[in-house]
Amino acid sequence: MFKFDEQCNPRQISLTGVRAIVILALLNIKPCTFEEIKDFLISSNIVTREYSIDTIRIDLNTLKYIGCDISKATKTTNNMYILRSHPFQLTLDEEEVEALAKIYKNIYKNLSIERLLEYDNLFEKLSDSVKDENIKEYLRGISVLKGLDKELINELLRDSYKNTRLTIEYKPGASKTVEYDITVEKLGFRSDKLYIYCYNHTINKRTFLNFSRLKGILARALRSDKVNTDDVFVEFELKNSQNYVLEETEEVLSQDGETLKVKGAYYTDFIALQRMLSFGPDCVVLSPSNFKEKIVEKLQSMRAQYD
Amino acid sequence: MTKSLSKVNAASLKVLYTLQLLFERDLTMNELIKYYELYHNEYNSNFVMSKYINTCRYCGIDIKKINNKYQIVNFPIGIGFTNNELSLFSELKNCCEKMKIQHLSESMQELLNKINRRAERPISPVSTSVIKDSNIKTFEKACLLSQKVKITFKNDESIQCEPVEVSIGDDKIKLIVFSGNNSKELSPDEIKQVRILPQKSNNKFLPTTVLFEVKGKLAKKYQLRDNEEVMRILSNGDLVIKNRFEDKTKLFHRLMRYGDNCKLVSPKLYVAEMKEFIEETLKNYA
Repeated sequence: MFKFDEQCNPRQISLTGVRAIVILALLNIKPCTFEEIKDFLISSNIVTREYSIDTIRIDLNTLKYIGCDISKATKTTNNMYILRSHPFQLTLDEEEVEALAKIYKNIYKNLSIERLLEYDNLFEKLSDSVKDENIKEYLRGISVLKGLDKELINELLRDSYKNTRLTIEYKPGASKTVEYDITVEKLGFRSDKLYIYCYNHTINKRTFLNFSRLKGILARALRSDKVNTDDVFVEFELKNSQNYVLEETEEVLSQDGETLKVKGAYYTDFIALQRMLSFGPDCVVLSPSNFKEKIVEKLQSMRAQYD
Repeated sequence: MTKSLSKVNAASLKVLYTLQLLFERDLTMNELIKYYELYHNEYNSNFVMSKYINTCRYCGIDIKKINNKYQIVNFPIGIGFTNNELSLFSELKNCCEKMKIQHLSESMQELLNKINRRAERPISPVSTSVIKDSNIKTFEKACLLSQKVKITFKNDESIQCEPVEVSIGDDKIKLIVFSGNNSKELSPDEIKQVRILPQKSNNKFLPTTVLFEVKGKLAKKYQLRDNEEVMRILSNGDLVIKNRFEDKTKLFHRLMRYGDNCKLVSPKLYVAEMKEFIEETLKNYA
């Protein structure tokens, strides 16, 4: 619980000083009664059995004098001394937290949901340990998972590992609520929102559902449900490729100067379509032909808006 | 400090004062004695101060003498971090090094110093050698000074513009500037030189306001960017969004993504360019 440096010469230390630091460290770990503190100090050869309640009051007063906030041991605290704050707490300033937020914002898109949950816990822990209320708030606001139900995220992750078939209540719009039978494949971010990528048995296709519109899991099938679903594969030519960053699921097949021939795998048709359109004139879809037709139709419909 | 001095233990108090001073900053023995005297109105000899430092050390607080200064290397009281949590800080540090932004690296290092005090295995320092792009440094300085810059590109073209900020996206650094009426994102890779001009940045800069409509399902789930606001909600639920400060090319590519659920409304010049942009894309399939 507490490591003393036995190499220090006992004649070159202040035993009363040791007592104060040890009490601070003990109370920092957990609230303690007088007896618990005394027992630990005796077992560590810091005090004798004569150590009294009056002496501990002086030790606690000393700690309070330098800024520790320690409660009295009363019936309401189960006769425990509780350390509420102390001057050796972690202090972070705004620039440091801002740096943390900027760096995190830059990498979060490349992180798994499991890793994002770990970051979420870390920011929560840092927030709990600092005293400044503004810094606390700032730290709580960094995580992209802020305000989301972490327990539900964890449940869905477990369901995705096991391919569990779920019946969920989902609110696609402002008014109605629908029930869907889904098998979760993964969770991921799109446009800064958390989505559930799943096979939707109710509409018999792959889809992605906005996590914040999920109202609850109504039922879980006992057996796992293996669904055979395929990504949408699109081959395309990308000009001025230096202006773009390819996604993990996009593979370069060949290169001619700044023009790349790329094969991309996308979760749904819709995602593939959005991706191709976002390249503008720099992209030419090569195959499959039915997808190429969809792109042309979409572009014609877009142009018609400006006629 | 609500308790009177008569009810406290003087020797303990001195040890705690010493610890507080070292907790604030790294100090040489002479500085420690000087600060102690300054704050607590009492002179202590080297021997006495060493005793207080040793007392802290005995309690597991790792105080090392580095470059003649006493420095708390590990402080086991208070928040501690698991190896996994430390790996998150390491990941952030590595990313910070890639970003090559000086003030960010400095703040990150300050943060790591505090974390390392509470870590069993300290995280190595942020490598400052990676911040070697003098153009980015000059640009950052111009942002701080609010002065215009002349940017010369590798193809020898140049522009005079107002620096806004160094921004990071998709693992790439971009220099955001106001030039003409537009906001632009420049890649440091294309820049040969950044020179700070004596003119102050014009705070009255008026960026182009872009209006676009988002329709149907997209209108229901459209997430506004920091630089956007809803101008109007139409009777059918469609939205008119006002956008400012976004790089034009980047905006066009983003709006393309929304397909026919989005229509650029103004300014006229942008509408014409967007139409041409779509037509050019269509030509690929002619």
